[in-house]
Amino acid sequence: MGDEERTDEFEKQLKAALAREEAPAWFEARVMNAVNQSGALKSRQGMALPHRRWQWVTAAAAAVIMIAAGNEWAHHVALEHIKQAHMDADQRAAGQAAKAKLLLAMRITSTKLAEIQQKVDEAQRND
Amino acid sequence: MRTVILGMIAILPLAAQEMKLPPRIEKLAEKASDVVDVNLDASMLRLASRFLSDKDPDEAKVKKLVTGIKSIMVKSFQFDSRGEYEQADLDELRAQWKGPGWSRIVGVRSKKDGENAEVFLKTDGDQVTGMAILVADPKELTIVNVVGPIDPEEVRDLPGHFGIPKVELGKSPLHNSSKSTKEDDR
Amino acid sequence: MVFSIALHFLRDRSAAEEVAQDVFLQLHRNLDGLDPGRVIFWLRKVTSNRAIDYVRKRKLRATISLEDAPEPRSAGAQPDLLLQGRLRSLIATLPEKPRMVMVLRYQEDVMPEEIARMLGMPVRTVKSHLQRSLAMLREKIDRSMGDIR
Repeated sequence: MGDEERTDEFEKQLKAALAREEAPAWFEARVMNAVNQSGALKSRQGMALPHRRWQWVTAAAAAVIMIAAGNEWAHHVALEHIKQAHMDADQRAAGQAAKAKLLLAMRITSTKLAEIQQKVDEAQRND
Repeated sequence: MRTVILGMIAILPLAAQEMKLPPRIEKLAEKASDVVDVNLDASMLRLASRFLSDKDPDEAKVKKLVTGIKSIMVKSFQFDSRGEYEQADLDELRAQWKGPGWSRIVGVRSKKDGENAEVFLKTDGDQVTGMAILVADPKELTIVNVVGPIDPEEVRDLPGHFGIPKVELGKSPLHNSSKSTKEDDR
Repeated sequence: MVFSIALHFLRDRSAAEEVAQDVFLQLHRNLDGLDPGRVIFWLRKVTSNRAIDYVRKRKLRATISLEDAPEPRSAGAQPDLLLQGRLRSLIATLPEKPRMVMVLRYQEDVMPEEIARMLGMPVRTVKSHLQRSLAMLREKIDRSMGDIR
């Protein structure tokens, strides 16, 4: 066997020696318990989170558990969950921004119409 | 300090009712000390509505008001000095509100202060299908264009602040406050 | 993946579970700010660093010599399994950084450039660790078991 072949064979053995080992069956439950106990489901102020935030955190916890489960399928699903949660967060941010702009536009329009009405009323009083 | 508030640009192709802002008006942003620029198309209005609370009376009113509206555009420029825009610029705007269905329902002019305010409505039979407002003060210019069913009186009577500080644009004689606050959209 | 990196590095199931749990807690705290496309990189990086820190804190560096390596599970164990067991034992005797380089390279199939970013070391250092570790492992295996086919 040539040197290169021996190296390849040796590296194959190394890969086999270091093949992934699954976590114990109860490991997911252990992680979930640790997540719960860590207070990660509460805000930094120590108050219970509003409903929407709770949903995001629960989705995140589920994603973490799936990754902890260890198999490729679970990783894929977990990453999809994370992507969806990020999209949800992005959409929430976009929605809040749109709402702020709408309220600003309505405020300006309302103010201007009220001013015009006052001017009309004033002009009519002066007539 | 110049503050520019940029809204979202409507990407939809211009519908027959959507107004086209003359380039000279757009360029006023370069001269203005403060600019408010809000553009909301139908999809952004739907998105915004989803985040308006039904439990908050003010937000609930706004939610009801904007139902069916296709677009809202608000542009407001504040200038440090007079004469930054010309009547010809405004005439080009007004021309868009003279088409079929459009009528000017209010026109108020003050020669003393140089203020000019107009409200235009577009109607289709009994239905209001658009509204435009033009307020031209010597140091301030505000343009509002709404496409869709809108009730100007309901908008005028919107109470509360929606969590936004009162917008005091310019020095209208009707403003009681002596402060001049600038609106920052974050 | 996380548990396995920790296990192959620490050679202690209980310690590996502890490290893995810490990593997942940290993941949960940081999920908001993580780019989904970078989660796997992040996990590998954090696991590697946590496992190395664990060893340094607990001073659990394995000092098992080849002669003291645990016996195979059964006398009739396949030669490859025996070899793989010895390889795992030998890898456990490496210093922390080269050991983690080997685990990342041969368990996770991570390229040297990425290993360098994960462990915060130059690429040439990673390659040097790989070369020296491979050479050491082969020499010890050859001495104890003869030529590998």
